[in-house]
Amino acid sequence: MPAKRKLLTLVGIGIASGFLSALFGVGGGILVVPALVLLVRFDAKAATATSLAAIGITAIAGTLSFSLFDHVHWGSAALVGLPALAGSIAGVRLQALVSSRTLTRFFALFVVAVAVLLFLE
Amino acid sequence: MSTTAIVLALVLGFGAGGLSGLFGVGGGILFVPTLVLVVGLGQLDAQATSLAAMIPVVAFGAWQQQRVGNVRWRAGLIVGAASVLGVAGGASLATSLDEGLLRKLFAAFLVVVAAQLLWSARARRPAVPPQDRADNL
Repeated sequence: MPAKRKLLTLVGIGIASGFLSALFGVGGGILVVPALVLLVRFDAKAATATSLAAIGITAIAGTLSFSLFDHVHWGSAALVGLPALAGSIAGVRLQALVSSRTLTRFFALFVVAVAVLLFLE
Repeated sequence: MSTTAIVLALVLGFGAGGLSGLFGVGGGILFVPTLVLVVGLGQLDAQATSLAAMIPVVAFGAWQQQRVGNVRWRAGLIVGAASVLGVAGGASLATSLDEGLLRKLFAAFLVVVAAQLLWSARARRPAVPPQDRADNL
């Protein structure tokens, strides 16, 4: 891919993921990882790792911009974010042990159930 | 906040991190519902707080990936820097929407995420060929 086109593609991926991230409070990895694989031809490992680096910047930018208007509850962020740090270490270890296909389907159903709860809230 | 809610938030936070490590899907899609349904934040504050909550998880993940040489920094920095522009747009849209509508849009987004998960389970191949795994140990 020509360098200029690659640069423009990466910029486009960044803008789209930042928009999604700030609109919904998510990292944007759901968009960045497949985009890097499909559009820039990264392998899955490089795409996942590179997306983490990019999301770090996105999450900091989003946090700062929302904290200007006092929308960030720091205590609550620590309440879920710090145990999540421990959980993510356990999750990566588990990845090698469990069959991902069935588990992914259960997780998808769980996410739909959460969506229904939120919709009714 | 009651003790039960605090314990539940800690457990769900741990679970969100575990699932993000397991599936590579960020903790945000679970942080936001936890902050709304358990901690009792409004939708916008939950989303803003979710972004702050993911910083330690993402920073640690990026550091670990950096150690094994998987991060392509130039690309990551370009995507990250460009994302700041998108953040400005997304934040102003999120703050201008009615919170009830924002919550329904977020719920719809979760359904899209679930669909993508199901699709990836259908087409899943190991991200790392088995013969290469020993190199990562």
